[in-house]
Amino acid sequence: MVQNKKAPPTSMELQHEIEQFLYNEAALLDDWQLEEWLTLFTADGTYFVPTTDFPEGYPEPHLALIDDDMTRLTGRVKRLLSRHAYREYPYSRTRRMISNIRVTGAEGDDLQVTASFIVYRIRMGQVAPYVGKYLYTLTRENGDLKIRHRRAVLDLEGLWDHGAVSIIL
Amino acid sequence: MKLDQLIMDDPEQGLFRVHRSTMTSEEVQRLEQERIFDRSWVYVGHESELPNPGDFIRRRVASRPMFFVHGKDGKLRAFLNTCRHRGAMVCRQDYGNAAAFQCFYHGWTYDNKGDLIGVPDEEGYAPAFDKSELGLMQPPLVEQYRGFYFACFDRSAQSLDSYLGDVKVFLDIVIDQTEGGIRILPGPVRYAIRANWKLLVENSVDGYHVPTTHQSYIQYLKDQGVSMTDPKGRSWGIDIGHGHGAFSGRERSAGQYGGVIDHFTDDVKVRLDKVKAQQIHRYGKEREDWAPGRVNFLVYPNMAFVGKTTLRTIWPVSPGLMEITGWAIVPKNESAEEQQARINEIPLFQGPGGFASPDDLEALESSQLGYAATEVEWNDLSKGMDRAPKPDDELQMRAFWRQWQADMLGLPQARNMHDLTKSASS
Repeated sequence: MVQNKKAPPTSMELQHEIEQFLYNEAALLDDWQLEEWLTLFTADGTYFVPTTDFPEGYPEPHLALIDDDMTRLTGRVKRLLSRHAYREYPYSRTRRMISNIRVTGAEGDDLQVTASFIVYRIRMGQVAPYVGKYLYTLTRENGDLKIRHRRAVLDLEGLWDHGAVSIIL
Repeated sequence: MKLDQLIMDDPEQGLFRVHRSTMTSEEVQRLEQERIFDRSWVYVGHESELPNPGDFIRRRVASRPMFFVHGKDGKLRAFLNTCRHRGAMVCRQDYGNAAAFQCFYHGWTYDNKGDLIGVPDEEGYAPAFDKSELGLMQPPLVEQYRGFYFACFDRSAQSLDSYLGDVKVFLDIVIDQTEGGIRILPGPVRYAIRANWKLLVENSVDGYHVPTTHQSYIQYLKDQGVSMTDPKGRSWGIDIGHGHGAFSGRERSAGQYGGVIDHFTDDVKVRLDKVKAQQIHRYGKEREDWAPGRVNFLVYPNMAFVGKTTLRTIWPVSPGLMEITGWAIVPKNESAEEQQARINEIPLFQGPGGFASPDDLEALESSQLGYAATEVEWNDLSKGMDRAPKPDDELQMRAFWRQWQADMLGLPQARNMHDLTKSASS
C-alpha cells in the first residue's frame, strides 16, 4: 500500500493521458455529473474509502467508511441525485485539487496510479477540506481508460470538520 | 430558565416538551459534566479490543484523556493519561502494545500495570518521596459487564450491575447473537456533529424519522428487491428504566443483523437462517418474537447500540458540538465469509459514509441551527404518550429526558418515571 517506491518510467504521452483522465473525472464530480462519472468505471469497478484509523489498511477484517461495488455505487449516485440525500441537497459546492500524479505500476492493461488530492466541500457556512491520496487501478476498454479500483485514502485523523463523507471523494 | 422547568412532563394530557436551552446553554453543559458524566457509569471499552498483555488503546472518556491497558498480570485497567510528575500524556498513540509507558518530558516510566518503575536521578528526591504512591491514577470505580468495561468518577455511585439494571437484557441480546460471544473490531469511525450531543442520543433510538429522513436509503433497499411490506415480529418502544431506552424494530429480510444485507449469497442466507434459529433458542421463549430482529438501545447517558452491529459513544465538546466514535460489533465465531458480509453491510446504512447517517447529521445540525430562533422555546416529544408505545413513538426518548432531569436536579430518580400508559405490547 505504501507508494513511495520509485515509479517505473512512463511516457509523456501516457502521463498526459492519465492526467487528463483524472482532471476530467474531477470536473464531472465538481459539476455533479455523477451519472456520466459512473460510466468511467468498468463493470467490476469498486470505490473504497478506509477509516481514518487505518489509512494503509489492517491485516484483519475491519470497518470501512465506504465499500462500494458497482451496484452500491450506482445506488449511491441515484441517492445523491434524488433530492432526498439531505446532507447533499441542496448540493454542496466542491473543488478538487489533484496533483502528484504518478504511475506506480503496470501489469497487462492495468495501471496503478496514485495522486494527491484536496477536495474542498463548501456548504451552510462551512468550508472543509478533505486531504488525502487516490490509489487507482486503471485499465483499458476499447482503447479508453477505465477505473477498475478507486481508493480514496484520507490523511485526516477523524471527520472532525466534516462529520461525514457525503460527497464522492 | 430554572433547572426544574426545563421539561414539561404532563402524562395526563399526554404532552412532553423539552426546553431548547438544554441544547444551547453553556451553563447546562457545565452542569451535565458535573451531574451526569462525572456521576454516571460511562463506557470505556471492550475486552476484545485488548486481546494480549501489553495491548493498549487511547481514548477520551468523560472529557478526560485516558488509556485502556491489558496488564502483564492479565488484568484490564483504565488509566488517566497524565504523568504524575507534571501532567504530560504518557500514552501518545491510539493503539499499540507496550511493556512500559515512559513520559517523554522528564522520563518517568510506568509499567503496564500503572506502577511507577523509573524516575531519572531518583537520588535527587527526599525519603518522603514514595514511588509506590505515584502510579498512574485510575477512575475511582471501574467495573465490567460481560466484557464491556465502564468507569465511574463518583466513588459513592451504585454498582454497575444495579446501574445497568434491565438494559443488561439488551446487552445480552447483542452478546448472544452466536454461541461464541462478540468482539469489537479495531478501527472505528470517528466524526463530529455540529449539534448538541442529546440530539444524537434521541436520534439513535428514534423510529419516527426513518420514513422521511431515510427515504432515499429505503428506496435503495426497494431497488435491491428487499421487501418492505411484510415486517415480522413484535415491535415497540421501551422505557428500560434509569434513562436507558430502546425500540425493537420490525424485522425485515436478514434482520437478525439489525439491518438488511444486500450482498449475501444463498449459501450464507441458509447459514443465517440457522444462526437465527439458534438465537431464538438462546434468547428464550419470551423474547423469541422480537429479540432476533432489529433492536436499537441507549445505555444512559451516551452509549448507543444501533442494531446489533454498531456501538457508538457520543461525547459533548460544547453545547453545539459533539464527537462520536462508532465501532463494528461482530460475533467471534462467524466464518470469514459471513464476517466480511456483515462488515461490508455496516457502512451501507450506518456511519459517515453510509446511505443514512449523513442525513441524520444534516437533521441534527439543522435542528441546532433552528435553536437560534429563541422565540421558539420548546421541542416536542409527546408522540405516543397516551397509547401502548410503538417503536416510532417517543417513549424511549422521554425515558432518557426524565433521568436527565432527575440527575440535573440531584434527585435519586425521575419524578414521573413513566407515561401513564405503559403496557408493552403491540
